[in-house]
Amino acid sequence: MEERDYDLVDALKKRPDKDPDIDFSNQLRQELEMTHIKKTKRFTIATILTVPVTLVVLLFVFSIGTGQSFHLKNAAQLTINPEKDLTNIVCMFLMLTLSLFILFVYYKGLTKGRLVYMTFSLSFLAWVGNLVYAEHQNMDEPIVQPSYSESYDYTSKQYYLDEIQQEHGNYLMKTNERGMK
Amino acid sequence: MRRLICKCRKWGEVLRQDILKIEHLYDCYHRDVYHFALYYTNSKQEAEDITQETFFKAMKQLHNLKDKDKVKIWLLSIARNTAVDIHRRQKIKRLLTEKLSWQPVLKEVPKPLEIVEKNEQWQAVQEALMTLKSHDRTIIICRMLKDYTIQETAAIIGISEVKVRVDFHRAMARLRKKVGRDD
Repeated sequence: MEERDYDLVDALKKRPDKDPDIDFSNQLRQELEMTHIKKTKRFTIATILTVPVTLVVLLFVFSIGTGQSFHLKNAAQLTINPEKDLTNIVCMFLMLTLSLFILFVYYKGLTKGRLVYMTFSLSFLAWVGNLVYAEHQNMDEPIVQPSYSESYDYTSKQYYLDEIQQEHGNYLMKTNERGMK
Repeated sequence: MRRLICKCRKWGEVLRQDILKIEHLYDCYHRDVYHFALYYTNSKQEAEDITQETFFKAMKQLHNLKDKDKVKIWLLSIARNTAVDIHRRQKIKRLLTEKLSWQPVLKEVPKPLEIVEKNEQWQAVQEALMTLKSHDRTIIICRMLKDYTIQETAAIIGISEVKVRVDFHRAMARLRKKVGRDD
C-alpha cells in the first residue's frame, strides 16, 4: 500500500460527523428492545393447499405403481412379464424421485412459494383432466397381434396351416392326373 | 482505546453466554454499520435508515446464524446489501422527482483541485468516492476506511480474496484519479 493512499483516506476517516447521533442510537436501541419478533405462520394457505395436493399426487403414483385400480379404457394392456417388470421399475423410480423432490421442497421450506403450489396443482389438474377424458372417450381397443402370447391360440393356427397344405396337395394331385390323361 | 476494550469485553460476555441478543449486537456493531452506511451514501439520513433496517433484518434472521464468530461479517454483509438497495431506491426517487418537476438540475462539475480549495479535504475525497461504482466504493470502505482484512472484505462482498486484491488496487487508482492525485 502506498503512503499517499493512506494520506488520501486519513482525511475521510476524520470526518467530523462520522459518529451516529446519540438520540438516534438510543431510540433505535429502545425500538430493538421493545420489538418482539412475530412468529411467522407455519401453515400458510399455500401450505394447507399444497399438502392435500401432494398426498393425492403420491396416491396416484402409488396406485399406478401397484396395478391400476382406475378403469382407464385406453390404458395399454400389458401382456408379457418383462414389460410388467419394466413398468414396475419405472414407476418405483418415479415414486422415489417424486418423494425425494417433495422432501426437498418441504425441507427447504419452499412450500410457502406459489410456484410449488402451482406446479402441484397443475399436475393434479392434468391428472384429473386426463382421467375424465379417458372415461368419456369410448374408443375401441386397437387390434394388435403379439408375436407370442399365452392368450393366443396356436393350435388353431396349426390347424389352418394343415388345411392349406392339404388343399395345396389336392390341387397338385389333380393337375398331375390331368397331365397323365 | 477504552471504548474498544469495553466493546471486546462485551462481545466476550456475549460469546460466553451462548445467547445472541440483538441488543448486544447493536452495542457492539452499530457504529461499524453506521460508518459503512455513511461512507457509502454520504447522507446522514440514509445512513440512519440503513442502520435501522440492517438491525431489524438481523433481528429477524438471528436464529439462522450458525457461526457466532462471523457475526460481524454477517452484519456488515446485511448492511452492504441494505445500503445498495436503499441508495438505489433513493437515487431513482431523486431522478423521478427531477424529471417530474420539469426542472433539469444543472450541475457544474467542479474540478477536483477546485473542490480541495473550496472545501475541506475529507469532503473532496468523499465526493470522489461517491462517483465510483458501488463495488469499488464498498472495497475502499472496507479495506481503507474500516481496515478490514482481505478475508473479511471478501466475505462481506461475497467474492474471492484474489478478486478483492485486484479490484482494490483498481478502485484506489480510480479514486486517486478522481481526486486529482494521479501521477
